Amino acid sequence: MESSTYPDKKYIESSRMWVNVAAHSEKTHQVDAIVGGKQVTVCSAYWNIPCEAHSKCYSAANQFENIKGLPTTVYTDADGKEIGRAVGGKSASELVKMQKDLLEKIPGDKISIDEWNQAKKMIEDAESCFAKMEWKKSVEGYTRLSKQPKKLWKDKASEGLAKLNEKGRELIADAKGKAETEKEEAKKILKLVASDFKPLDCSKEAAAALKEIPADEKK
Amino acid sequence: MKRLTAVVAILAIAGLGAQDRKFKKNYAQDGVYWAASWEDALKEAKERNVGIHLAVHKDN
Repeated sequence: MESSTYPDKKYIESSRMWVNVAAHSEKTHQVDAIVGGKQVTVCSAYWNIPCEAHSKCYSAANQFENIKGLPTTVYTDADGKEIGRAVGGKSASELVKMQKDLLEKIPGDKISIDEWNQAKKMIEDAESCFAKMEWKKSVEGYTRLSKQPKKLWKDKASEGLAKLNEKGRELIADAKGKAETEKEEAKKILKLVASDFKPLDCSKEAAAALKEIPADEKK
Repeated sequence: MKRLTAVVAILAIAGLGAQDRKFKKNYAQDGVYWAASWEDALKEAKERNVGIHLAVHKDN
């Protein structure tokens, strides 16, 4: 199955709607290869993981009763409860059909691995910008995420934007503390929040706070 | 002297191990995404609301 079923294009497509776990104790397939332009040490039987990973997963099979003949394919719901099983070698088309039928037993909105990876990358990028204090890019990143149709991504985007709003308010408080003694620095911070945190509430609050700082008297 | 011999032997074995590992040309650039652990798989399955496919195998 490692050399025929899993590399099959239709099977790969079908696998995108599952979380796939290879449970295989032996570590005899390790090779060096180039994946995505990088040299990596990976398994030649299970794509893009080291043999250590599938070996570690072998113990997962112990929680399912009566796994005697190998290969055995076990399907579970999202909580890890068994919903189907196939014993013996199976072709790609057999597993694709089985997966299609079993997927219907799992109710609700599902997220494919491609969408998952794409959204995770958006979150990582937005978080990385936050850590680098690139506020505008971070706001833009989370705003893009909020436009994804799934509720999960909208919720993650709301969390990220709320964190940014909080940060903007911290900066406003800092600026207000400096308004008397370091007026120019305070103005600089408020201008930054007003422009880089748009369209968050803190941006409007910064613009309002900026107006409250009296202009320098003309000499 | 014994200690030095042991260190040289370990380094030689480690070197042989690295040399023995093949470089696979034309490694697939796409494939089934396999989880790194069962715990990771459970967490991801819940977040994505999808099932888990556990493939139990053994070398021939």
